[in-house]
Amino acid sequence: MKRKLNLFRVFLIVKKDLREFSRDRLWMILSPLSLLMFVGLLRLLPENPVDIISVGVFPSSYSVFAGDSDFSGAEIIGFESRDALSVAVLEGDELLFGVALAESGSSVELFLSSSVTPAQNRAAASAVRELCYVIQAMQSGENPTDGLPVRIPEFREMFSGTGRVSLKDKLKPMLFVIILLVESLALAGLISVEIEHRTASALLVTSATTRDLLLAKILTGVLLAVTQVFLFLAFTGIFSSGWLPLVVTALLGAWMASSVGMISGAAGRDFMGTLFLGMVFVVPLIIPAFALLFSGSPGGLLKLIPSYGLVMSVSDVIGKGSGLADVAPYLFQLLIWNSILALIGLFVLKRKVEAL
Amino acid sequence: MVTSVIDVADIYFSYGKVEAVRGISFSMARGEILGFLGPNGAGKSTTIKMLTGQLSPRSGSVSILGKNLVRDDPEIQGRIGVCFEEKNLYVNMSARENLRFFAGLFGIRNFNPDLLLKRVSLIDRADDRVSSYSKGMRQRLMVARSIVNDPEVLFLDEPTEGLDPVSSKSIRELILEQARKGTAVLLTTHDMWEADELSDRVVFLCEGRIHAMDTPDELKMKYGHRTVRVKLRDGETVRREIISLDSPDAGEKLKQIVENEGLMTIHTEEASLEDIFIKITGRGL
Repeated sequence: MKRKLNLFRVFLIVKKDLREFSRDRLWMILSPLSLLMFVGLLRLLPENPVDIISVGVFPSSYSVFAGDSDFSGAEIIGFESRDALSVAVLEGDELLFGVALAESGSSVELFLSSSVTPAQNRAAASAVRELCYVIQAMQSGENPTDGLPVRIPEFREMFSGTGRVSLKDKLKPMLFVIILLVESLALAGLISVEIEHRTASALLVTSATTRDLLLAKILTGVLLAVTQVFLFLAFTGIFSSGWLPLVVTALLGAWMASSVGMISGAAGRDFMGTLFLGMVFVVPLIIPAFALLFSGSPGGLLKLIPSYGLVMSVSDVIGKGSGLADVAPYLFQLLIWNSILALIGLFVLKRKVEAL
Repeated sequence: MVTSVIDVADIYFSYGKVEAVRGISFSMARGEILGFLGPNGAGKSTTIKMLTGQLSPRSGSVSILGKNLVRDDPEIQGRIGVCFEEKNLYVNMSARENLRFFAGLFGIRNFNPDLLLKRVSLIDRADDRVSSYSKGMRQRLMVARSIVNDPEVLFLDEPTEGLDPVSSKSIRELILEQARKGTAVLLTTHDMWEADELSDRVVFLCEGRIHAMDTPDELKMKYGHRTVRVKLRDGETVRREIISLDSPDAGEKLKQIVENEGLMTIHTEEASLEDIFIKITGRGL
């Protein structure tokens, strides 16, 4: 005989779960706190980070560092001696690199701070090389820009999407994913308590069926996750990047969080075991978002992580202003992963509940 | 026409290699209280789980209210009540919320939990969270929850275990009241006195098998010894004597004792269910 779902009973179980959640001190502190912290973090970070690099020079009186020379993007700090510059760069933490010219102008030294990235290192070397050409031209009494194939004012900076993606924007997908996954842990906690206290057994000797219970757990997880992530998007103003693709992504992300919560909630032996298992899931799922903080294309293996589609969708909507059609391939990938995770979650939870 | 509310035919269940229930058969009538007695691991809870659809028997059949029991059957489960051995209540909810929630799952609209809460003397703490309740209060709420749907069949797994005499008494009264209304009550307990007091019939269960099933009186008659214990003054000494009422000369002996001027005390004694359990199964509870 086919047992039909009873949506009223599902609603009652969801309502009960939300009531239990609202009375659980741990999650009632953790959930709003994570939201508050992440919203605060984004509010505190500057919209456009100052990209000016501090560069120490010696001698500061040298004509190339003075006057109208174009050093936009760099703050030039003059030093009294080569040794003072060397100490400031190598032992201090203010200067990224320093350039010391010999009095005769025949040689140049480049001091690099240990915090210089490889890209900044290469950029500094190139800049110094260019500096040498400028000095050479100036010493010959020529205009340094003569003979160049293009005139400097003709440079155009072109970016994909709406412009350069700031660190703040790169952080947003990661916070989005973390907020979802915190709620997956909350659902896992609710499930593990239901199993540990055997209240699930009490439910299943009423008119409620296993199907009612399973659907209720999925919905509870989705509701918790989607509420948190909507609040996050609203408080940080991210919704303005494209509300429709963000809403769809958030709903699919909440579904993923719910599935992961069901797996860890059912697989853990007790509350602590569930939290541990939850972390085992959460950490790999954050990796694609973490990878976004670094320049370059994501590696092949990264694309196989279930949260990849979620992260890329959020990232493209925020960073490039992509629409729903643009992020559809990512959402489709997320949908497939969600289906797989939900099936695993339902299977594991069903077995656990039936074995009580 | 349904003549019995529970029909169990030759059910088996094992946890891996451990056989918990080995061929149990019995039936129950409406309004009957059946006491399931047995030591830990006898198969009492496993039997209840099979009878409430939580476990499926490996073989045999269970019929509740004239219908074969299968897992997740809302129709049958809406007509039974279960009180678990574990206090599996929602501790972050109040008693009132717990009862309302379960009534909702049974599809009962406009349920008023206060009547039940009064019956189990929890009305004064109805809005307090269950986490603040004592063991006895939780147990009373468990029993109240099990009858929230006014069930036709009620399963009570150790409903008075570890309770104080007052709480135990109130639960026993509630069980009797429910049976008087026509509910069939299957009760598991370690307490032989309680089983004797409440049950119309008792089942002696040991190692997954039924060793005896009858009314407490019949079991006592069949397996027990009725005796009279007397204390007589005999000069300077006190003499104690036990007379078996089942012996052929019991009447004559009793007559002589009653006429004896040295008679100090006289007590009748009947075998307890515990004595009979030990006699039949070869082990205690």
